[in-house]
Amino acid sequence: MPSCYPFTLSARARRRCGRTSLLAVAALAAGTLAACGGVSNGGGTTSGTTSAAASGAAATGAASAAPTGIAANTLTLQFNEPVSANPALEGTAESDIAFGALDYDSLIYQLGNGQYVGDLATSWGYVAGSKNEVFNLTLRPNVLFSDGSPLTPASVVNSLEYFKGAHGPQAGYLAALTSAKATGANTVQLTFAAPEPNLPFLLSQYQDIGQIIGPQGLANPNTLTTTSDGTGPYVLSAGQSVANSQYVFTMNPHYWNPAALHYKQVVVKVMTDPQSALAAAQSGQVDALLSLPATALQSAKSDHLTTFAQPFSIASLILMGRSDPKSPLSNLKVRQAINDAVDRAGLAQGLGGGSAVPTDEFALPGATGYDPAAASTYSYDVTKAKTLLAQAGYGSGFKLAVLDTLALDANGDIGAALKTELAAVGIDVTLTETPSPAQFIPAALSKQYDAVIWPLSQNGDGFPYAVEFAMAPFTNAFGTVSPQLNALMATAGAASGSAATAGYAQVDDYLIDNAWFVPLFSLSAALAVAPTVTNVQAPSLSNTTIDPIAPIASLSWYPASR
Amino acid sequence: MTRYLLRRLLLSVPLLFAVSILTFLMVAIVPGDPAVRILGAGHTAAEYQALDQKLGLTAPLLVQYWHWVDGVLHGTLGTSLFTNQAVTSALAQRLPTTVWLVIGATLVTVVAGVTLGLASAVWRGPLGRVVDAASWLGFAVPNFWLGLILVEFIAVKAGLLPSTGYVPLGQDPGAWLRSLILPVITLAAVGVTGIAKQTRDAMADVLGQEFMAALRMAGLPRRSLLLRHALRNAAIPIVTAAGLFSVAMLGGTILVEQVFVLPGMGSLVVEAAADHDLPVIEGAVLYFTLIVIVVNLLIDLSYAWLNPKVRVTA
Repeated sequence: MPSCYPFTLSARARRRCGRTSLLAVAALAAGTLAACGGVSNGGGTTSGTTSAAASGAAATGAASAAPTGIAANTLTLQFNEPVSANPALEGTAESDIAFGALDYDSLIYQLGNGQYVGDLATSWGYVAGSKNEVFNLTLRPNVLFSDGSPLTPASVVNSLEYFKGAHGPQAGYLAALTSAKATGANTVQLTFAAPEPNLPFLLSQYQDIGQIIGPQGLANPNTLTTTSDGTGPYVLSAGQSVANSQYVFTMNPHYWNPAALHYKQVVVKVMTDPQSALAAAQSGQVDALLSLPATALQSAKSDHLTTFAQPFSIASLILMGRSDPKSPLSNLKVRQAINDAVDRAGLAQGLGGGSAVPTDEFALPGATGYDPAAASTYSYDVTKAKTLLAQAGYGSGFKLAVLDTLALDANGDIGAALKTELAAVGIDVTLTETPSPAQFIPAALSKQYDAVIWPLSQNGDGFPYAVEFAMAPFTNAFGTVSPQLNALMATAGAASGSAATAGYAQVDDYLIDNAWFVPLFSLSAALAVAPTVTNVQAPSLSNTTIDPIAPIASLSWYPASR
Repeated sequence: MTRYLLRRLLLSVPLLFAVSILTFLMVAIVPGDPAVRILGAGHTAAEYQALDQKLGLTAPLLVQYWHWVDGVLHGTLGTSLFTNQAVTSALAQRLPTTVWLVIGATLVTVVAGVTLGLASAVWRGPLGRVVDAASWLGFAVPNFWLGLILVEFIAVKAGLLPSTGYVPLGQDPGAWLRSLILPVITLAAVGVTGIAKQTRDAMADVLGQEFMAALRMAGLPRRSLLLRHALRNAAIPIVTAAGLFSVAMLGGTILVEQVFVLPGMGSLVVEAAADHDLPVIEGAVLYFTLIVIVVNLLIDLSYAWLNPKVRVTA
């Protein structure tokens, strides 16, 4: 059932939403019927683990009015500096909206309601009895890369193997991949050494490993930092782009579903300052701000932009020093004391932009892995925190080196607040701020920091992914390995239904009890859209599932003036 | 004069070397490792060593520096460690924005500053005090703050000019001019007030000299007195100040480019420094140094044009 989100939309958008809901319902119902249980995306129907209707209601327009083919010249988007234009070296879901999803198709496409439909794969699924270790994919026929070569099972295998060896931020998800092989003219089989229950998510457009790179790009990966070689709707234009300033994507002449494209080109402008970005949107220079701190949402609403904000991740202090014998964080009582020393409710209220929910768990209420019984394991209790520190032998405090990145912690507010709160229990935080993840990741890997401020990703059904992400090298620089955690994850991963839910709740409990992390409050992925574009559909899952350009014509944005 | 110019140009060569060596040393002592950044998470020690070697980062600093100098002498500034883009190409994309920004701001500084200073010197009284007050205000107001105010009222509220972005001159001259107006005003603000005060003081000094009284008694028209005689004699300190402001504006572009989201050299240097991208930093510093040398040379030439005695001694 489509839904509007009155708590996140401006009054104007709410009125429009009310007017268009009925149209949208009718259009989506018709689309669903026509697709016989799948979404038509120009190349036949889709199947797989789930088939789906299109996601939530059009928040800024009616899906029924969606054009077929080109309707305008340029869509201009704002985003931060990318980690890399090479998808194997990229690694953030938010960045994929602005960059990766434009020039690289993923194997599977995730709709705004969390369901999966086909993109480069038309069907997929785990092999029965394989305990989520063997996964089959059937590829879409007649798809060409922007270099003109055809998509084949071999190209998928080669791309996955390149990702695994390129050591990008997401290569770890393929660490357990023991084989990727072509099993037919258009089929591929992936085999993992351990259960990997989250493959549809990992192979979707919001992760990188499912974005398939073409043979020319793989032959010379250096070219992937200035141009692209995917099957996606656009190609990164090296001649028109200025690195870290402006990225111009022109149409891919070989794109398999041109009816889904409504803009001749997409320009992504790098703007890290929220004020400059808001001014650009207000003065009509940018159609949408895809990276906006939640604290800027009110300004965006005042500026008559349509805003979207939903919990996406959990602002957290990750205690990496837990495995460093020299660090006070190797002591459980110290980690618990830090968890007790922070005022989560106050932080959520002050820094959450009005939509944050405080939490001391690894998952948010309602999400997979959330355990209601474990809520408030840690409460704001400075006296208790001091007692724990004294018991651990740190009654007179200690110094703590913490790394932060301004791209995800606007103005360093979370870092500054934590420094103040931990000072109250005698912990002297030395804060280092990096401008972007590009600088943050190598610094975090340097083992010079006891803890890092980084969001724990919590994308819908992505709990296992969130746990794997939290154990990735740059949030686990000292290499904590826990056989118990691995066993809990394996058990939950091989299960399904309520057994899987219960299993992941046990994982959540384990992480809370061991206090490896200091979850603080939910962070919203905030977006603001100018009145120049329409058909921006409010997702029910997470704002990272908003795609300006989708492989389905009815989901892609188009100009409001049309 | 030609010998003088050649001597100045030759003197700039050791300056270029000194600046490039200092830059190399400063980048070397700042913590950070491009190889780790490129390899990302989960690399092995062998992969790290291989990349470090491939990038030439294992060689002694002196050898690394020599490789860079060798490249410069052969017309190449190397390749960005992160984008794989040729540094000359990256700089070519960014240089026009910064150069036009500085040229525009220098022109506005000189024209507006001299006009205000002249008016203040001639009419004195309240106008002089206004120029004085404006000078202090101009120095006190941070240019990024002024930029934000201009964006809010002129670009966003009034919709008269774009708030962000740069349009190349060759693409659309009208849009190019519009994209530069607000950044140029922001960058020029400090200089205008500074030049105005410099002009007022220098003109007041010249106007009080005996030769000016003699010229006045000779019946020269007021316009000729002020522009041909007084201003020309007062021009050397004004030109010196204008040159200094131009050089300072190169530094100011970093913040102005940030506020107006301009793809210029300032933002490139900040990004490269954060990434530890040594070839880009060295290339950008080389370009900046060349610009400073050219500006200083132009100032020296203007001295010679303004004062025949300089030509003789040169």
